[in-house]
Amino acid sequence: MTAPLQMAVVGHTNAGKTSLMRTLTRKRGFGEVSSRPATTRHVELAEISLGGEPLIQLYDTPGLEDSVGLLAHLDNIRQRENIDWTRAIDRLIADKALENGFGQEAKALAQVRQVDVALYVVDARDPVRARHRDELEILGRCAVPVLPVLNFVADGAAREEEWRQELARKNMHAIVAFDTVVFDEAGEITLYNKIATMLDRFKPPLDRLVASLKARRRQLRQASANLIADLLVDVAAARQSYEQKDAAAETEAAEHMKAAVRDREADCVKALIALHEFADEDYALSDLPIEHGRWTQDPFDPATLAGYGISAGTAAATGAAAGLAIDLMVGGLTLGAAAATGAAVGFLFDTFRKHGGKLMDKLSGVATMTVSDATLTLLATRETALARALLSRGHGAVKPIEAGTLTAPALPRSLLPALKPARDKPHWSSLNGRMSLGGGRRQEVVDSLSKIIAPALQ
Amino acid sequence: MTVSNRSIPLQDRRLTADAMAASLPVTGPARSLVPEPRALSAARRHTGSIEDKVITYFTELPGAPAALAGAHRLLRILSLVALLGGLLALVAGAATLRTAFSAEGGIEVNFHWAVASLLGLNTLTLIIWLVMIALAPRAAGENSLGAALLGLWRMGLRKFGGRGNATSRAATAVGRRIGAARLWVVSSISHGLWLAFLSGGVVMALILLSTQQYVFRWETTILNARSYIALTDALSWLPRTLGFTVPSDAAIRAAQWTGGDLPAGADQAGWASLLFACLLLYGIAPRLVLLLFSLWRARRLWRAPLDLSRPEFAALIPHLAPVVEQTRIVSPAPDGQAWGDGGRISRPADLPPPGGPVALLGWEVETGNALPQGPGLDLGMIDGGAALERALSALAGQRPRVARLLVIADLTGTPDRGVTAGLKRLAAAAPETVMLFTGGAALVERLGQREAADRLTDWVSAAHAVGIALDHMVEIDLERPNAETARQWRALMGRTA
Repeated sequence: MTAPLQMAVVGHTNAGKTSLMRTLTRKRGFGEVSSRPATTRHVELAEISLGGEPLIQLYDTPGLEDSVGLLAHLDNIRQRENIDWTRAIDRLIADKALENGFGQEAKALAQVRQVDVALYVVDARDPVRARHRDELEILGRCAVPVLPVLNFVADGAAREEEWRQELARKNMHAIVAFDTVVFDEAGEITLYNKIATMLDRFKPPLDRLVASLKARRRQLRQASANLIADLLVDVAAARQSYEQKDAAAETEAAEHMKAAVRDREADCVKALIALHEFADEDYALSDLPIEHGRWTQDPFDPATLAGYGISAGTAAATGAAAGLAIDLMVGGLTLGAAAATGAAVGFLFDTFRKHGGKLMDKLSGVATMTVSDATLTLLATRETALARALLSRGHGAVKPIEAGTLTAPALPRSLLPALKPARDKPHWSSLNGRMSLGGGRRQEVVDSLSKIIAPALQ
Repeated sequence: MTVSNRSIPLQDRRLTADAMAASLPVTGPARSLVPEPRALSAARRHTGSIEDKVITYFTELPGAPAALAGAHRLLRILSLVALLGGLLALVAGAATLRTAFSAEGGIEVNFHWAVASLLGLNTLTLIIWLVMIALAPRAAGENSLGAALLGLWRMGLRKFGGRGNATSRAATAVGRRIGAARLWVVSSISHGLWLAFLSGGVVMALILLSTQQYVFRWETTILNARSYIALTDALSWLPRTLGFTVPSDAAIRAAQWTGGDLPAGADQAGWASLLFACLLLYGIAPRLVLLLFSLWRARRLWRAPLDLSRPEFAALIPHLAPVVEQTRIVSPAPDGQAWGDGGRISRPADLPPPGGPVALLGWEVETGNALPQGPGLDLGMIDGGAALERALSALAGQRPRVARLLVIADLTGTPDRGVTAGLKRLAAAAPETVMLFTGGAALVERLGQREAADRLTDWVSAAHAVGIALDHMVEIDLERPNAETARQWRALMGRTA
C-alpha cells in the first residue's frame, strides 16, 4: 500500500476550485462556493478513499489573486538574496510573519510545495490574461507537476482552443477539460488517467479508483432506470372502479386516480433526486419545474402531453419516441395550451382506457378505468429526462438545472409492449393497495423494463 | 443473535440483506432514506468490499434475524414440498414397474414393455427438456414438472405462509433469488422427480426379481422378429461394453414367444441384468448427471452477489462508503481583508464635462471595441505588470496633463487584490478617475440576476476602497451599445452632440 496521492487544487480566485472539489468528492456541502472573490481563504483537506483505504488527499486552496504583484515580489526576493525561484517561493512561504500582503497566495503555494501534483483550475470562458501567465510562471517554479484543468468547457463562451495553445506555449501538454457543473464521466476518468501517467507509482490505486467510479456510474444508471420502471408498472397496473352510467362517480374515480398517480410520480422524483445525492429542497433545484419534489405540470393535462410531442390520440403516444428536444416550460400554459385546445375537449376521459365491456363488469354494473398509454409515455419521458439531467449534473453546480435544456431521449418503441403484462394485474400496483406476496413476475417485468430504459440514460 | 456474524454462511447473510432491503420503502409515502444509525456505524466501521458493507448494514438492522428465520422456514417448506413430490414419484415409479411385471398376470414379463413403461415418458420429457434448453430456455423454466411444483409451493405460501412482516420480506427475497435461478431450480426439481420415479422402479424391480421367479420374453404379432432382436441387441450394447451380463444372441432369439408354452431355456439372469442396466444407464444416469449439473448452476445463481444497482442498495452506498469520509481545515484563513458591501451606485447624473484632455484604458478589456472615441489618449488594454507600467509613464508624460481617466472594467472578471493594487496606482496618476463597468449582460447570462448584482457590488467596493468616488462609477454595457449608451459615452468623453 503506497501513501495516498497528494493533490492540491489551485487557480485564480473564482476559477471554480471548490466546485472541482465538490464534483470530485460528490459532496455538495464541501466548502463554500460563490461568485464573490476570495470565498475560500483557508486550506481544506478531503480524503478520497476506497474500501477504507485512503487513495487521494485533495487540498482546496485559497485563490491566487495578485499574481502580477506576487511575481514581482518573488523576483525581488530572488535578486536580493541571489537564490533560485523555488527557494524564493519557499522564502515567501516562510515569511508569513512579514506583512507582505501575500498571505493568501503563500498559503496556496505552501500547499503546492507539499503535494505530488497540482491541479491548476482555469475558467475557460475567461480570455488568457497576463495574470494567468504569471500564475503559470509561478506554479511552474514550484518543482511540482502541474495539470491544468479547463473548467466550464461545456459553456458556449468557453475558449478552450485559446487556452490549449497558451498552455502548450508554457510546455503544458497534458491538459484536462473537465466541467464541474456539467458532469462528464469521461472527463473525470481522463483526469485520473493523466495523473496516473504523470506519476506512474500511483497508477494501481488510481486504476482501482477509476474502476470503482465506472461501477458506481453503472449502478446509478441501472438504479434510475429501475425506479422509473417501477413507477411505470405501478401506474400501468393501477385501476379504479366506478358505477357504470354514473357520471359523478366516474368523475370522482378519475380524480382519485389522478391524485394517486401524481403522488406516485412525486415519489419517483424524490427517489431519483436522493439517489443522485442531490436535495429537492436545495436552492439549486428550485428552478426545475419540480416544486416540493413534484412536477408542476399535470401529467393528465393534454397541454402537457402536447408539450412533449405526445398527441392526444390513443396510438399517438409513439410521438414521444421520436426523441424530441422538449421544453418543459412550454407544456403547461402558453404555446402548448393553444395547440392542444382542439384535442382537449373530452380528452381527460380518454386519458383512461375504459374497461366497461368486460363481462363481469357488465353483470355487476361496475366499470374500471386505467391510465392511458399516452400518460404512461409522458411519465417515462420526463422521468428519463430528469434522470439524465441528474446524471450529468456536477456536484459543484450551484445554478439550478435549466428546465429548457432538459432533453427527452428516444424511448424505444418496445417500452409500451413491455408494460403490457402489468395492464391486467391490479395486484402489481401499489396504487391499488397491498401488493402481492413475492411478486416474482412483477419484478421480472420491472427488470426487463429497466433494461429498455437504461440505454436512454447513457 | 445477530445475522452479521461471520459464522453465518455468506449466502444466508445475502439472503437476509435481500429480505431487509425488500421491505425498504424506496418509493411510496414512507420513502425517506434515513439510515438506521447503529447499523450504519457498524457498516462504516466494517472494512471490506462495498457488498460486505451493504450486507453488514442490512444484517445489523433490527428484524434481520426474524427475516432470515422466515426465509429458512420458506425454504424448509419448499424442501418439504419437493420431498413429498419425490416420495410420490418414488411410489409412482414402483407402481408402474409392478404393473408392467404383472400385466401378463403371472410369472411372465414382457421385456420391452417393462423397459418402455419406465423409460418411455422419461426419455421423451428429457428430450423435450434438452430441446427447450437449447432453443427457449425461458420456456423451460416455466413449463415443466418442476415449475408446477414451484407453483404449488407459491400457492401454498399465499394460503398458509402467514401475513407477518418478516414472512413477506423473506418471501420477496426468496422469490427474487429463486426467480434469478428459476430455470435451474425448476430443472433440478424436474430431474429430481424423474430420478425418484426411476429409483422407485428399480427398487421395485429388485424386490420382485429377488423374491420371485420371472420369465422374460418378448413377442410381436405384425412386426418382423429381426427388428426386435436388433433392438434388444442395440439396447444391450452399452451395458455389455460396461461389463453387465446381457443375454446372448441365442438367448434373445429363444425368448420370443410365438404362442403356446413359454419359451424355455432362456437366460433369465441375463435378462434381469439387462433390465437393471437399461434403467440405470438410460434412465437414472443421465437424470443424475443433469440433476447435479442443474443443482450446481442453481446454487451458483442462488449464491450470486447482491445486485448493488438495485435502488434500495444504490441509494444507500454513499452513506455506507462515501467517496470522502471526512474533510478538515488544515490551514485557517489569514486575518483581515474580507470583502465588505461597499455601497451601491445609483444611476448617476451625468458628470460635468472633463476639465481637459481625456485618457482611456481598459482593465483587461480591449478598448478598440468601445464606442467611437473623441480626441484623447487611448492607452489600450492593461494586462499585466508591464502594461500597467507603460500606461502610468504615458500618463505622467502626457502634456497637457490628462484631466480625466476613464477605466473600463469587465464585470465577468473578479475584482481581486491584483485589480485593487492596479486601480490604486491608476487612480493616483490622474486628477479624476471614472470607472466604467461593462459586460453586465454577459454576466447575467453567466451567473444569473442575483449573483450578477453581487458581482457589481464587489467591483464598486473594490473601486471605492482605492479612492474612486461612488458617483464616478457607471455601469455601461459597451458590448451591446444603444442610443443612451452612446449619449452617456460622449458625455464622459467630453464631446457634445
